[in-house]
Amino acid sequence: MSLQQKRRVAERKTLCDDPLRYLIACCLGVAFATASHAQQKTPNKAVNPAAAVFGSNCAVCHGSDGRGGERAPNIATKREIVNLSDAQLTAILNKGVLASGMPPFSYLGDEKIKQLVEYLRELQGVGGSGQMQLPGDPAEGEKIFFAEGSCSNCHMIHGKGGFLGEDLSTYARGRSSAALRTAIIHPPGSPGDADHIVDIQTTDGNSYSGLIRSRDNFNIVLQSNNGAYHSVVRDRIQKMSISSQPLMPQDYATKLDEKKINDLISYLLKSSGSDKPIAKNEEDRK
Amino acid sequence: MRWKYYISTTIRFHLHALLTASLFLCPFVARSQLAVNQPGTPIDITAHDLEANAILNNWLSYHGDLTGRRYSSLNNITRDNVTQLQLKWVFHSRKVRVLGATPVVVGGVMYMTASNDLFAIDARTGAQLWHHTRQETAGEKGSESVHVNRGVALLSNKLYMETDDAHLLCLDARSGNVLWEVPFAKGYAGYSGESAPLAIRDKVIVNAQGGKESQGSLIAAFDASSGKELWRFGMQPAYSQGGMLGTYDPNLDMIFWETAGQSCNPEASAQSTDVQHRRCLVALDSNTGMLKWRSPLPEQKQSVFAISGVPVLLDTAYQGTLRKLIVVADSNGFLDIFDPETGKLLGQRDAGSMKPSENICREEKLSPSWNPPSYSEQTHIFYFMSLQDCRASSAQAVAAHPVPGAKAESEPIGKSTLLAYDLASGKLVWKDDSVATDHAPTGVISTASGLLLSGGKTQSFQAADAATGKVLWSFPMGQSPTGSPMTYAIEDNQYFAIAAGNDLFVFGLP
Repeated sequence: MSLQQKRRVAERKTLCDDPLRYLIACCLGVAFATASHAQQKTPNKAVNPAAAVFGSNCAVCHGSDGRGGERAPNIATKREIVNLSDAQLTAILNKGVLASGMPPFSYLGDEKIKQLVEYLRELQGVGGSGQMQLPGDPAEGEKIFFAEGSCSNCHMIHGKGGFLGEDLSTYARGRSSAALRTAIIHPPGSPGDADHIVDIQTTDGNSYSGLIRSRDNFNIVLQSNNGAYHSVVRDRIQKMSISSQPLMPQDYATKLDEKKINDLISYLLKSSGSDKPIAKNEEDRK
Repeated sequence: MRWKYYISTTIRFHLHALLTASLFLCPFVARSQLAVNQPGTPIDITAHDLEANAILNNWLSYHGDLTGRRYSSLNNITRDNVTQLQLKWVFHSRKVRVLGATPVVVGGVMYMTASNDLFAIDARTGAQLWHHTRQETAGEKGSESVHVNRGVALLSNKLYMETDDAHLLCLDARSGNVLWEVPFAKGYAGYSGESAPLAIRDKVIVNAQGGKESQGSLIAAFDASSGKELWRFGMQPAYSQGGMLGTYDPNLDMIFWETAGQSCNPEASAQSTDVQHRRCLVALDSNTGMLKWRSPLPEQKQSVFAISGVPVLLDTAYQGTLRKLIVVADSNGFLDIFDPETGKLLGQRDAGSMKPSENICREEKLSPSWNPPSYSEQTHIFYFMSLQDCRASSAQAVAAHPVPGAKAESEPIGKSTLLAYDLASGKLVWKDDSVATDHAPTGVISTASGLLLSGGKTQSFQAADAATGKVLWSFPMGQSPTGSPMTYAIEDNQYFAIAAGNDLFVFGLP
């Protein structure tokens, strides 16, 4: 696709996206309001009354699923938000985030604020109690992480493991079992060659091998597997080659059977504390 | 008098030559010269590296070494070529808070902090390699914190930093992954961590800044690999501003820290004003945290200056003999000189008597506050940036000593003065009272090439001749420095770095 074509597609996307998203947000907002209205009429059916409060106060900006919109960030899966304690979320709701335009919602009263926090926990996929069902055995999953799966060659969990890949200590927080499964057996890969080993030979006879940690038009910084950083001036690069395969194995679907994958997912969930009720206040977290 | 001075100077010169020679024969100094912890090698900082007596290419801790002298042995940038110094790169932190840290550099990688943020930066180009961040603590607990962080400690391949809610974090220096985290002032309201931790041997030492209600002090040591608490001194976090880390003497195996409150006067009740304003210097056994000695500092008159100073450890000729000293430029405007072994006060010099004549606040002393001083092994001069601030009593002072045009209710008057004090002669060698007309909370560093680096006037960074105070070079940063300078080298290229506002400026030769 030529650059012009790309630009046109992008333009088209922007044009379509805005009204569509807005329409969906509105519809869902109405849907929530209607649902809660229906709920009031049929009290037997257990629907969280906070959904209506969320729908009429939060969904317009954060989206009805809390995954963000034009005006406000994703509060359902963004880990920085999911990792906040109930007390911190309550404080944000009461005080607002004035710098970014979020108004304070203290007028709703403590009871509704509490309901909103609980409802947000549901949207975050950690449930009102924050407890998730584990699909397998986390103890077995831990063995796979550190041995058979060799995940720990690159990834770290709570201070143990490698450093080249992402720290997975809280990776599963706010992520469903299905999302974790996809990430393991169909890894999305990092953009570009970020997780491909790069080999560089310089004009002064040195050679370096590692992952690119920073680059611009003049410099490139590699990190080799012993942790050392190599800051190289591009002018001095004689030869540079990028491995075709990313570091993240692409064959876990065949390498590990269904049970093992479930065990591994369970270990990730347990490590992130997703199997426990989410912290209710600051002290619980410490 | 002149004859006496000549003798003492000659003795001093010979003793220093001897000392310097012995230093270079030490194996651990030799190690720091080897290709360990140089660019392209994995980071592995040992206790010996931290205890090395010469700061070379790497700047391994907040003060550069454990003595607090802030004296670098690098000499690539000299009094002759300093005029060619140019800006190499600027690192901009997208955080709202200012950068108050002195960065550390090892193997061509720089580690810089903001409140609850730690950045790994390629020290040659300024490119960010990784970033650890967490939300600032909201609500009552963090309310006493001004959300400033002074930097990291380094040991092995791990980094240590304090958070605004007084947690000690241990991070993998290769990736920024958090290895462990411990709250060190748990159970006390309004506490925060602000200082850079102090890494010595196999442990990491922190101090906590406390809330309005806490009147004690807290210094605690943790095992550097496991995070297990080893000991703590004091019962509560101290009410103090601008957390400053202490220093360590490996031979005495003692740490020295300026502290406050009940740690200084255990008999007094926590509520008494005596406790509130009492400050002292303590020496602790590094293995047990047991008090070795306690020596009071002048009584604190202005709580606004309840800011801890650096107990600088140095070997110098003092009153005719070469000896170990602790020199504190304390926040009450005195230079206090102690014997590190016994805590005996050997001398006290009123820095206020060195103050500029136009000072209108007679009650005020020049307060070095949170500006770390420097002792140059090249000039044997003790340098410190002092702050004259009439905020607390300007109204009284102006009433007592009327100055034409000055109004009692006028804006606070803050003025920084750079002072050079010769410990051997007990004389002020020079002073530069033009360095800043506002609060410039910047410390100073000196180099083996006879340079003194500090904040300068009109929000600039300057290099002066350490012997005379003559400003040789300056760079307008457009904002007052907020951190203290440091220097490092990659191969033969020496750099200076200083934080101002949200930016970290790095300078080098063309």
